Amino acid sequence: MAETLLEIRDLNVRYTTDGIIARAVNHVDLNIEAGEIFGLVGETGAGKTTIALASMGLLPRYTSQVEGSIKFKGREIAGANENVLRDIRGKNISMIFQDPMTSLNPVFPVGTQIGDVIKWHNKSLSKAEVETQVDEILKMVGIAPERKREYPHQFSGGMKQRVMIAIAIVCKPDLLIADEPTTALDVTIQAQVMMTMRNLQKQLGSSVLLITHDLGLVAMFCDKVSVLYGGEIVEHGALEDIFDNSRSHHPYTVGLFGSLPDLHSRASRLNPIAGLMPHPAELPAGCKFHPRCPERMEKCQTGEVGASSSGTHSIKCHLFA
Amino acid sequence: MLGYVIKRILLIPVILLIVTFLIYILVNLSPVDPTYNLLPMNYTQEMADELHREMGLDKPIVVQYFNWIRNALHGDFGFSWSSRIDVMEQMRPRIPITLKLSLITTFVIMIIGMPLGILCAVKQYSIWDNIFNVSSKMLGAVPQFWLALLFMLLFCLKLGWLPSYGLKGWESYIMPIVTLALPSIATYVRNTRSSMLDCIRKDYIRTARSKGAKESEVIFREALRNAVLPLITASFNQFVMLISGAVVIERVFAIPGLGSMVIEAVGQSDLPIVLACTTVMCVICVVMTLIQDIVYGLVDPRIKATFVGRS
Amino acid sequence: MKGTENDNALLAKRVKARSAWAETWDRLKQQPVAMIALGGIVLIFLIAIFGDLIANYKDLAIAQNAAEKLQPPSLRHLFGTDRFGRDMFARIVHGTRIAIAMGFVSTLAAIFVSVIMSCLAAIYGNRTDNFVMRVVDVISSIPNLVMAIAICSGLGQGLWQLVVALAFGSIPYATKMCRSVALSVVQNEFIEATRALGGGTWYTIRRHLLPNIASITIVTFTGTAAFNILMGATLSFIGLGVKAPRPEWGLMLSESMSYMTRYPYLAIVPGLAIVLTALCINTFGDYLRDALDPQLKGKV
Repeated sequence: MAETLLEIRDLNVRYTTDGIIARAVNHVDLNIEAGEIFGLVGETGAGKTTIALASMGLLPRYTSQVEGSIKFKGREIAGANENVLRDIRGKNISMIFQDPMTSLNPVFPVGTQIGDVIKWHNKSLSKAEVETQVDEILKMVGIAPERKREYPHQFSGGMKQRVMIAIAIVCKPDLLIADEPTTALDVTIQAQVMMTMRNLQKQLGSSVLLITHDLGLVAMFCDKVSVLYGGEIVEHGALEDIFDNSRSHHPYTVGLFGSLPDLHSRASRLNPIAGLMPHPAELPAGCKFHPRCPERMEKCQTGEVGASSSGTHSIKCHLFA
Repeated sequence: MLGYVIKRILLIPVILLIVTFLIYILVNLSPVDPTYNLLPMNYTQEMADELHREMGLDKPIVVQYFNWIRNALHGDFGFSWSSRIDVMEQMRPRIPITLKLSLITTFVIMIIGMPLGILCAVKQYSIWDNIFNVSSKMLGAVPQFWLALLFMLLFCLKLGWLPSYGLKGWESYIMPIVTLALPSIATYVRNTRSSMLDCIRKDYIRTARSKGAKESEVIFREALRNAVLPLITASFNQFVMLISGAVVIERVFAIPGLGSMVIEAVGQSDLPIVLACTTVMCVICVVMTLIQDIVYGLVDPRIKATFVGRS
Repeated sequence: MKGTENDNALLAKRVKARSAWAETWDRLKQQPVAMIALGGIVLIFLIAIFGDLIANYKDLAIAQNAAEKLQPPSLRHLFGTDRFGRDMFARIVHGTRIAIAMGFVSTLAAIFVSVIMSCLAAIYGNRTDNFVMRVVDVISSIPNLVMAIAICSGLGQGLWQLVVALAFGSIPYATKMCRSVALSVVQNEFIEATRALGGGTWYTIRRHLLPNIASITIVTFTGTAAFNILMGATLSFIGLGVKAPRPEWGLMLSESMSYMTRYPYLAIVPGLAIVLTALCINTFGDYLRDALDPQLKGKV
């Protein structure tokens, strides 16, 4: 078995603002192994980004509370010293954010922004060496090295996201967290960016935590998938487990797939999930999904649900308990 | 960039022409007649008419204005109606005093205000932040001249630490600068704080942290470079305000600058001096605004790009 | 959860057709500091209106009385007397009228002009807007105080001249604030819809533009009023505004400059009157801004 890179055990994150407590992440367990692409799927507000930020120790200091353990290569990240975290960020774990338009600093040329990461993590490198590395990485992500003196506003959205990817992978991280890397991009650009990312991932042998609500992306790229709802992982399995129609699934996963248009089925209408995801400050008791669940039972409304698993596949639902 | 700068510079004479015309009209609304001051007590109507002709006051106001501006361009602002001394002669030693006072005060405000503003932004919601917030609001309601009076009362007259009037050495600059700077520091801290907070909340700050930047790098490099634009505006505005704001402090501390000169002249209805002083102040302000725009373009790549694109 | 109940209660309240103004008032009422500041403003207006009942203007505030000059504060003269033996308390009381004229009348005039200019700029767009902006640019390139000096020198010194100077000086700022909001309102589709449905210009202004720029106008009003009170006092202090023997606070300070070492109350009392008035208006303005637009809270 491959080495475990990121190990999250019983992670809970709460945000407190103006006395309102939002339980964004609840009892999440996650294992990412070396070299794999791990998909984290869920609606907006399900807690995906919170998990990502927690893994880098980037949650806002005063308004968030983290419980549980996040181990990166056996080193504890949750509650770790800022110096330790700084060493890991950018070098061992790096992150690509959702919106490339706002994620680059507008007043520095892109070359400088890439060079900064190299300098911060390799203090001994000379200026020229940093520059060559910048040129190389730009070539790798498909940008002409001459453009390194240009500013972010001179790049298109897709190009900016390539710059972000360059920043993220330039120190050859073990784990790359991609938080909805293509949501803000045009469909055609999405594919290009995703292909770039996968090629680089293969070259470097990094693991990727791909956060998305796009099941198509998951199907194309991921090895393992976790489905997140209301800050809980409701279903987890290998890609084949989740996308296998013949198996039983969590009603939420079923709903997610029901929301996708399918060329092969003759259904005249999509079958979306009724209702909205509850705000993390107002999560229901019992199973978080029960108010929207088509198969809810009496016992779903109270008490915690245990996960039942078979092989690599596990579901957190009373139907299968 | 160059095209833009040239365009801005070419615009300046136009603005100044309109501004000085406006001021000329406003000041000349005054019913005051120079004959009262310049002629002997028992002057006759003929003597007054003669004087009017001599000074060009019998011509329409627009003609008068163009005569005045033509002379002013040669540095000739006429002579004082009360003392008959050449206005430029009187003004020349006073301009540097007002400039010096405003410039030093602007630097004092920046040097003290910027770090405090950054501190407030970084330590948002802390006790420091609250203290500065409340005290800057308080200071915003205090008229500068009253602050100057109280300080003078306390430090100069009661304690006798500093001279209370005139310019006799570097000590006499302390009180004027402190009283000029204090209320402005309050606004400057507020400006710095809000523009820093704006930047600190941006996504690229999160990116910088995710890259493993040190906190000091995050604040002073990534955030400050973005927050500096509004701060440049604030600094230039501050200077422009001080040029005219110094009027009040010059009067309280009896400093022989432009401000005390113009106030004295208004009191004596000495229109040539009023015109000259207000014009000089306006020229300084308009030129400062130009420099501000150019600096702005140099600092921000986005603005620079739009300049280049436009010109 | 508790939050849900509260939300529902709030929702139920809103359903009862509450106007935006009533909601603003509700939010304001919960802020004790805002209420104190509002109380202060009301008090200043009351003093201004009923000033003659409190202290006789001619006898106490204007008439000189050498026998009682420079008396320290006592029960007979609450704030003491000045060098002409005039009762400082009476002068402060009657000074409120001048403060209101300087602060509120001048601002009202300025805002009136600004709103008209902003509406015209917004409705007629391009060329009108450009013209308005050029005018504003030119006027605002003259520093406030220089403008006031020029006007006071041209019109002579006195209260109404001062009010004109203050109003003129506030127009650029007020126009900039109102215009930017008015322009963004006009870009909304409901304006286009109104036009498509045949709504006239005046109808558009009255029905859509004015209600939408009301809050920025009010916020600008409070800020400018406080600023003009300070500015007016400053101008009177340097001898450009109100003339003696009127009891203007800044002028009172200027008159007592040479006596303040021995009689510090002369320097402190009028100054405090200015500060408290400006502070009340500023503070109330800040809370009002937050209450009018909760989303803007903490910004600007």
